[in-house]
Amino acid sequence: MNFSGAYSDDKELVRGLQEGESQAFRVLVEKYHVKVIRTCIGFVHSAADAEDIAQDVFIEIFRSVKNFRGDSELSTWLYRISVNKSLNFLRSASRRRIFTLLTGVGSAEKQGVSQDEITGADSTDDKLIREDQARALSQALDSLPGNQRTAFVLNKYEDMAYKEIAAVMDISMGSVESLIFRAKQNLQKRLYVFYQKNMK
Amino acid sequence: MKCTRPHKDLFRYAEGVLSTGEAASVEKHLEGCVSCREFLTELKGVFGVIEREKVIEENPFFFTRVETRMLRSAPASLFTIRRLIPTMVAALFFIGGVFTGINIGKLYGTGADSTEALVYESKQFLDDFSQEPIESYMINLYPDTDDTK
Repeated sequence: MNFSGAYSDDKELVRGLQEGESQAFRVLVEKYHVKVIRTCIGFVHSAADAEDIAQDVFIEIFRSVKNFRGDSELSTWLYRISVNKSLNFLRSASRRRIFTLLTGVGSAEKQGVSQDEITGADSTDDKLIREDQARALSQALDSLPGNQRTAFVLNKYEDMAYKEIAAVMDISMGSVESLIFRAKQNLQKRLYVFYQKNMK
Repeated sequence: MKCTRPHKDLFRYAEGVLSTGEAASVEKHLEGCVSCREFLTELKGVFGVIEREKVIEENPFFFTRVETRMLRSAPASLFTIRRLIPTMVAALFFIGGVFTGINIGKLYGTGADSTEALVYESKQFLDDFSQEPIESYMINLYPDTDDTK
């Protein structure tokens, strides 16, 4: 069912959400859930976790849309919440891992299954290579500072222009360019270390 | 040739974002460097991971899941009844315990009106000489003795 005709643009959608129209919320979710999940996957590299976080994002939007003043685009606000929720998820996952290591309580959490692992590969060797590459990417991205990681993920996973990233992160375009440049340099270093370890 | 560190532009070369001149410089380096060529293959593989992770299919059931989750989750608040119940139960147990203890004390108590009265009664109980002087005790011990005869 396509309700989006009733809400011609995001301003109408915001108006409908603020007036508590349930159809508006449905349209919002249907319109943006793919983008939100994709942004979250860039951080957590697990389809299941990304979907969980995305659900939280939309619930947060529903609860706080009355406070939305329209200073930014609806999509900018959505991305901002997605990034914050993803980073919070990673921080709490990191604390749980430390707790498990220190106390031995609870089983160690399985590293999120990469979307890449789920889609499968042609052969077992290819599958192993892809798992290695997915793990390398995940570890390399994990090592980046939060702002570099955010800028890189929004650029690579959402194909966002520097101007859009600047709006989401509330920084200048120059800062975005610098963050992405440093992210790529750091990623290259981390990936090279990973590659050298695997070569030995 | 084998670099100890990869060429600084290798990542961006793998991305395809270098200018023509920059790309040519990297390609010239790659012609003579085995380790950079091998690392470039790894980098392209990593970019392949990103491209595959980005593919997300529309989920027609996602809205239903969000709705279900919203119905299940209550807004976080310090003052919801659910958060207060354990504290209230613990307080009730404490008050009940104190009340019960007081009542048990009354049930098995000496009836003394005050602590002072209780102490006085205890002293009287333990103080034999004030209860019965030694002379009375001796007279009672030998009731048949008659010194006057």
